Amino acid sequence: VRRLLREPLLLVALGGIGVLLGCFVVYPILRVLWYPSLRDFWTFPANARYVAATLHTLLIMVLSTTSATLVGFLFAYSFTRTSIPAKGILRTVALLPLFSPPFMIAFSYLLMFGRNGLVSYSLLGTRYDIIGWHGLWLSETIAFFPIALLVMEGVLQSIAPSVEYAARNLGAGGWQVFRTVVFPLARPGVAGAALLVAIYVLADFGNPIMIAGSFTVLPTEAWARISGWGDVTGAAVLSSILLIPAFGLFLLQRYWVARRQYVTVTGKVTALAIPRTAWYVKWPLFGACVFTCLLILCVFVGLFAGAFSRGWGFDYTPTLRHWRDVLANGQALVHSLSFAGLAATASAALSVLTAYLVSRKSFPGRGALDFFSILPAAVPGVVFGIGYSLAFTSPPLDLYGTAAIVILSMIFWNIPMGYQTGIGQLKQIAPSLGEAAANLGAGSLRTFWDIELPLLRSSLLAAFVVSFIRAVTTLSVIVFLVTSTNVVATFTILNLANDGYRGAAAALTTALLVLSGAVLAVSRLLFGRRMELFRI
Amino acid sequence: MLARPEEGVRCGAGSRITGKEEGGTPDSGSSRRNAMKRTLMLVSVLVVVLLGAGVASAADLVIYAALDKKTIEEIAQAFKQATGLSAEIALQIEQAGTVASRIKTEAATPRADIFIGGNSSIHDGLAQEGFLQKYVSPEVAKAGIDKKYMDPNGYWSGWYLGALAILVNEKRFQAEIAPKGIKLPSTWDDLLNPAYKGEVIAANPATTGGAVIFMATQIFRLGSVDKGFQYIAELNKNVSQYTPGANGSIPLVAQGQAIVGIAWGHDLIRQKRAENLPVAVIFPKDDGYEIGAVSIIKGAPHLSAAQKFVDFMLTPTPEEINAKNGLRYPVRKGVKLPEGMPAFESIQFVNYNQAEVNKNLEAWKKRWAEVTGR
Repeated sequence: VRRLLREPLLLVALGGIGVLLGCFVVYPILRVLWYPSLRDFWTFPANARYVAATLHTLLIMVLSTTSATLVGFLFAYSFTRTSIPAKGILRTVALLPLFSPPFMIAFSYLLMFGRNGLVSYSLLGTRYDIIGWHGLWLSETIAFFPIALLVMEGVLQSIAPSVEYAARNLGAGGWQVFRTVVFPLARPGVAGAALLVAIYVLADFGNPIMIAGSFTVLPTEAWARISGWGDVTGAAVLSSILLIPAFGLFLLQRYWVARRQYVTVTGKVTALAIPRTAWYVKWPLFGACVFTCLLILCVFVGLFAGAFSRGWGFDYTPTLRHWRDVLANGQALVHSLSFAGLAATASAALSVLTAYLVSRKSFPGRGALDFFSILPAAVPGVVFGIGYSLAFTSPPLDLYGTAAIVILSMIFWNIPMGYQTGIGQLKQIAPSLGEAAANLGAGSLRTFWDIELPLLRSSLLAAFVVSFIRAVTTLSVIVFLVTSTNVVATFTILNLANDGYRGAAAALTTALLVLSGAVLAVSRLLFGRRMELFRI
Repeated sequence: MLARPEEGVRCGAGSRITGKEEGGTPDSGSSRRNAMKRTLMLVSVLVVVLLGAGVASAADLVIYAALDKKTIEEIAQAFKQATGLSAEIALQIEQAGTVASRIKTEAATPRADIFIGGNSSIHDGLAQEGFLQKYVSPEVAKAGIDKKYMDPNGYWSGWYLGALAILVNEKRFQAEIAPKGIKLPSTWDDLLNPAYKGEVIAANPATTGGAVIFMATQIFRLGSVDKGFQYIAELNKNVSQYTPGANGSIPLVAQGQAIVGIAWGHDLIRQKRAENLPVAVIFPKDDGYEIGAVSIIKGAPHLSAAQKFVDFMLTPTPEEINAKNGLRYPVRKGVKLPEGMPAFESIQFVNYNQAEVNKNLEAWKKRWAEVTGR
């Protein structure tokens, strides 16, 4: 504490972050937890539907997290430590699922792999039914492995090839190098990625709502309580339960990852090419990547087919008429992009700064700050939305119908992504760099600005990109906050689909996808070629 | 747009440090400042865009609607013509529960005056929890509208009726079911045919009011609770999935994910027209129906305008708009029915007892879960 007092700027930064997280993360969540009475919680175990949803949630979390982390690692390893061909194309395709707004993509799975699917029936002639837990497993794996990929790619990349050479010079084989050198160094990244994926799977709503059928999970059950019966109490109880496994995951990650830390960015320049990989490793990896990418493309082709055909799933005559509806909803698109742009900027700055403070400074309440920065990821969007609606539509802070309420929800809901990225990367950067600067007389601010910030720049940009995409594609948060004055595109998409205009919904989804891609491309132009998108 | 991975890989970790060292040269220092300037510019442009959004409106009436967009917009226009009052549709989404939830979470400072759309049971729930304002329109007596379409406690007014329907994927039916000598289903019992095993999609009463009406319809139609659930158990053998929403089967059946579905007839016919869905629509004998309601929210900022709106909803104009766009039946007699919609009287309805449903709702939902295991 005495050290804190000597650094007023640090104190101000910590205080500011603390107040913001308290106001816009903790307070709304507490409002949701307070909404039901104790009795409502007490009756939870007696409700068979709730219990089943809880079990399903835990089961699918284990399955999807394992597979998504595995696939993500496979890609990350192939991209950073092998010389497989066509990395650029594979990477672009692999990151596409990040762009996909909920439920339209899942609907596209049905179109391709359902009972009457283009691939499953028209091509392969089976009446395979993808609806159920296995379909959910597949779609969540595809949806979330890019997150794992992004986190682990950054980590794997920072492992200097020199350590690998050293191991090889000492006589280690390829597998042994991987097992004893590369993987242990990557372990914090793998654990961080798995934690993040697990939390996203826990709170996932877009995939199960469309593809899980009767296999209910907690977020869909909460959503159903809301959309069917207007039962805010039931939804609040269900999501409170969801916070328990989220807390468990958090502890697990801290225990497993924090046990060992490895530093590979030490300030000593290394510029070695990565060692060659054996062909029997390289080509199977390449094959697996290509296969996954084909699967992703399939789903997106389904979406585009919907946007340009007369009847999605039954009449594939080409048409442009759905695009009239897209033009009619131009305002919603503009809102989506501008809200998300602002939110992502703020989110990236705030989350990376928090990550820096948590991993580099010691101060009381550090664990709490860490926990609250990860917490929003574990809260289903619909609950975050309810919390904001309860907390910020009446005085003292009345933001009803404003752009601010939507933007704030996007900022704080996306904090965990940037935060986790920043933490993962900071673990790889030796504190000695900062310490050296401090020894030379630089203060906290100076050290941060001149030493750590340049090193963190790629984290910042990655956090911006991912927050932006998530903000553009979020539905479950904003459904509680939009009115006619601050409507965003995902809400319109849901509405169009609900009203039966699924072609128009697919077209608007496509437009949103293309436009957010364009925004990222333009910001890359603005910030010069050194802004490497999607590079953590 | 996307970075090529190779560059990054070759550079490896060390080059970032080099990058830092470059940061000291004047050239890249200015580029960093430029980047900051650009960021600032971008942010200020965004802020300007934002100022345009979220400006509070000065409308005479604020509506939350669980109706399709076209219908509620036309109704608001007609309301302006009839009364000179402007109505803002602040929220429009065809999920009555979502609208009801918004009313609950915003109850500390109510913004909306009117909740329109959704069936009477959702309005009932809100009324019981104290979120609605009592109002009985004089129009009910004046026009002689049947009292059974109005809330006995005076919180909501029924202004349309909607009937359940069966939808069938025509292509798959002709290819897979018709060759077995089976005709299109015309009664609820036809759905029990084993030919439909795994090919029926229904909705779940735990999550939607539409499915409760389906469940209660079976009980009233067959004359006893036990027989009703016997039917539901039989049907369960054919059901591949129960969707959370009442209309969840429409896209799935249209796309061929199953052959038969159950949904709201009015939504079905409207969607079929809009998107040319390849489905047959059947209103079965002993059909069940919903009462679509409108109510005033407690603490409504524009109470007298809200009362005028409820009066207006019971006049012929909005009923016609609604019947035309949403293909829902008017509660008033003498309103022109849209084409392609069978006359309300031509559908044989079950003798639906709402009081009985309200009384047994939880018990029946529980039994449904036990019988179907979902």
